[in-house]
Amino acid sequence: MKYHLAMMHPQIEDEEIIERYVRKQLAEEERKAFEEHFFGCNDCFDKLQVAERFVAGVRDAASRGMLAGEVEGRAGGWSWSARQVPAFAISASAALLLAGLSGWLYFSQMPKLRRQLSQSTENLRAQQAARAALEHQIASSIQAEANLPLVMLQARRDVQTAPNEVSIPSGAKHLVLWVEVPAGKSNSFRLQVDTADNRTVEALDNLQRNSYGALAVSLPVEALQPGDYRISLTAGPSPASLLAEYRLTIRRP
Amino acid sequence: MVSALADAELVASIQNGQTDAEAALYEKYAAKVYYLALRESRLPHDAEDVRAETFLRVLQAIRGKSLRSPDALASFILGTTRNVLHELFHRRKLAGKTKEPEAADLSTPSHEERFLDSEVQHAIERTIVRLKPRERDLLRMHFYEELPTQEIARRAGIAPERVRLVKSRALKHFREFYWRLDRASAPKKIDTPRR
Repeated sequence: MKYHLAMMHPQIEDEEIIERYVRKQLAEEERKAFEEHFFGCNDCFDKLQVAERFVAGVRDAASRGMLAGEVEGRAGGWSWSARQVPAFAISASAALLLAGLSGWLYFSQMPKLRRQLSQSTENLRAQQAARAALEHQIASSIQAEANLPLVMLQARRDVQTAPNEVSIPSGAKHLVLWVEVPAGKSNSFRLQVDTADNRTVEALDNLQRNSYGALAVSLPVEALQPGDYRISLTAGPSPASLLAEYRLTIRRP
Repeated sequence: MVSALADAELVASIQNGQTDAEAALYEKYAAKVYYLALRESRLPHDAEDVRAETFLRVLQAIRGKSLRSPDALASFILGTTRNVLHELFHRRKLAGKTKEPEAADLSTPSHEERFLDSEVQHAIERTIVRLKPRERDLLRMHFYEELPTQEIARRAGIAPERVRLVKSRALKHFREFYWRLDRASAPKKIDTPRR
């Protein structure tokens, strides 16, 4: 028990025995002597408990960055404590993992994503173009149109009958066909416009007689290039029967 | 009051068959035995075993009047604790386990972490607030980076004595804050209920 007797409070205070005991920095004999002392000294044991909490708290605060201060110029360079090494290792591992993930994304996923983006952009442009065309078409259809070209179709009775002719002025958007309907029971008609080479340009169903007993049809002139057309009028419902056939020549100034 | 008895009187009371003297003996030394056992073994269940075995042997020695000097009861309890710990480490070694606590169970919180709770963190935070930035640096370099005092003083451009003064002041603040918090809540010690 010589250490217990030898170690008194002034020595404990002067040599910071309690803190050094907590930090495990005492020599073997000093450690044993201090244990002998605090087993018989409640005051020192209480101080020891507080010191344990203080050191644990300070280290915890430092690890959470709460003790980041202002001292600069680490002339001796970084000295890695035993606590910093694992922390650095974990951070470095996380950084490497992140870098690997980023690389994989860049080299593996980015080309695919770029292709998808390019495809989406093209789709969007096509949709925008279609929308613009539709808007243009709607705007055209709702605008008043003067000097509308009109042709009153007369049925072809033989091959020598002169075709109906119409000259579409520039700027016209629609051609109006006026069709006299032969007398009959049918109330629903179909009008089909074909080119000379039998390509159907327009087909309109469910046409009704107007108050003059005729059919009035508006065709967009965009689809009517200069040339000869054959227009067939049939009566519905099916089986449809041909009522009349007209020849039409479109001219442009 | 039995609890206020000196060690020699406690020993005499136990030898006279007073069971409350045995309880008083336990209350007086249990925390110290457990603290030392936990510090050395790092494992709470081993520390509890060490404490139980220590008091069993101490009480047997007192009852059997084999304690040479009743005035040296504290030293006897410490010596018994060390013996029990030594036997624990010997058993660990035979079982193929190292004596080193870190390797014994890596998932076990360190001895230091057992002292860390919300009250300690709160008291430390309040202490830090009262410190100047340079003083916080000193604490970090001393307790966290574990730099020598001379090196800390050199880096901070202050006298080595100043490092000690800052530590002392911070500890004083911490003790005050912690005691206030400790009084406000139920007292907690690094201890477990008596078995």
